[in-house]
Amino acid sequence: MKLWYPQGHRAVSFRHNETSFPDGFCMSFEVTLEQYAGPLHLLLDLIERKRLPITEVSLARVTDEYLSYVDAHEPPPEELADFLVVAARLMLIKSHEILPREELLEEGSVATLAAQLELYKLFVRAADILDARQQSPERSFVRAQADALKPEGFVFPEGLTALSLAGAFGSLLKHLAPFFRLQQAAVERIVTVKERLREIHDALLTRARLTFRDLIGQGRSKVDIVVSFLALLELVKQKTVRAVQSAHFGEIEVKRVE
Amino acid sequence: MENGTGKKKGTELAVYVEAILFASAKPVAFPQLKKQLEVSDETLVAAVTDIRRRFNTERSGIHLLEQDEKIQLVTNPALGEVVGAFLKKEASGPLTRPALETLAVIAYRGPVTKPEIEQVRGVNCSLILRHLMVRGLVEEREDPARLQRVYTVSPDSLREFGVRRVDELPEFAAYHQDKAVTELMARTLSSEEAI
Repeated sequence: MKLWYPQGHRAVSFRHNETSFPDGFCMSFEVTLEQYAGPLHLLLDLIERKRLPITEVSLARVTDEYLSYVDAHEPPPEELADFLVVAARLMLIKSHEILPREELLEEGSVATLAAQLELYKLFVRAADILDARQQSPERSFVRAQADALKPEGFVFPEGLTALSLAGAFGSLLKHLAPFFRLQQAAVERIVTVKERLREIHDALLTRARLTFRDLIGQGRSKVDIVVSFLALLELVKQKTVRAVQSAHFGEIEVKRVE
Repeated sequence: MENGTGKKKGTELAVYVEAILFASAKPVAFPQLKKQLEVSDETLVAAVTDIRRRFNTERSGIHLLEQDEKIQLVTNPALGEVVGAFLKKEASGPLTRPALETLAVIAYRGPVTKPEIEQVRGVNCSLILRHLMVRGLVEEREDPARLQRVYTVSPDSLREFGVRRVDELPEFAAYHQDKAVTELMARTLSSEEAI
């Protein structure tokens, strides 16, 4: 299946030692400017580039690349939350491979991400079909002017009363309510790994050691916890902190590396 | 019911519908026609079928376009290149990938709700939906059964894709009714709560 790249900016920059394959698939490349149509698009591209089937195992294998992409190319603010939700679900899948299975792992959502990606892939194909239809010269036209239906002057619409107007406004407000709720939720969810990284770092400047539980604090959302965990992993990688966990599901102790 | 005027029956009704469609140029909705011509659903559908059978052939320059209980007379899609050149109509610019994907979900699964579209694409689609509506490719209406807003592709959209009904889109049946797709959609939607 053909994956799409935005016109004008072919987003893949090839290195000097690139190897071209007969079908145009190039191996050693680095994604630089890719504008993905969303987190699933990115995920699908990562999996298909490795020619993996869409399974839990494949998803776990591309988790790191997914995270580093999101870190390197901050998605537009309005989509960041969606990218992070997928990141959280990938971390969960990966944790299944590492951690012993416990009842607190949600089976449902793991099966779902592969299923959702499968579904998304179908519609990527459907989008390709529509794209081809739109490019084809086959199309219909209509008569330019609809003279017969031109209304003469102002016509007071039938059934317009003060009551129906109030009713219409009421239902408009009802429709807007979930939108406002959604906006608020999105804002709450957007805390970048980078911000959390700095927070943890600052916290460790005042205290030499603390626990992961301290970092999460009270009443944080699940995505927040995942973001904190990602930030912690990043700090461990940078060798800024040391993390010790004495037992499975035990407290994680975080220490500053002097 | 159609005895009201006693004159509009069967194929004769088709002639009235045909004339109204020609004069209107714009898409005409079933309820409008039923009210004006005082006919039942079945009679109107029979008349529309008759028009479709007579018009939608290679030998006809005018075809009948049907979408979501709206019908319109349009030019034969196969003649698009010549007619477009005569009218000096440029093909509209290509759609962005997010817009195409959103349109694909709506075209193949419509009428769909916004959460259903977002479930497939994994991202919030409010902006893209608004953009598609501004461009006149997608229409929004209230679904009284589901008490939600649902989205369908517009007749203009079908004209652009060179089809006369949405089910003429390639592989429509596979996407629209296919058990696997339906199951995947239901599965991903129901387990969304778990996250």
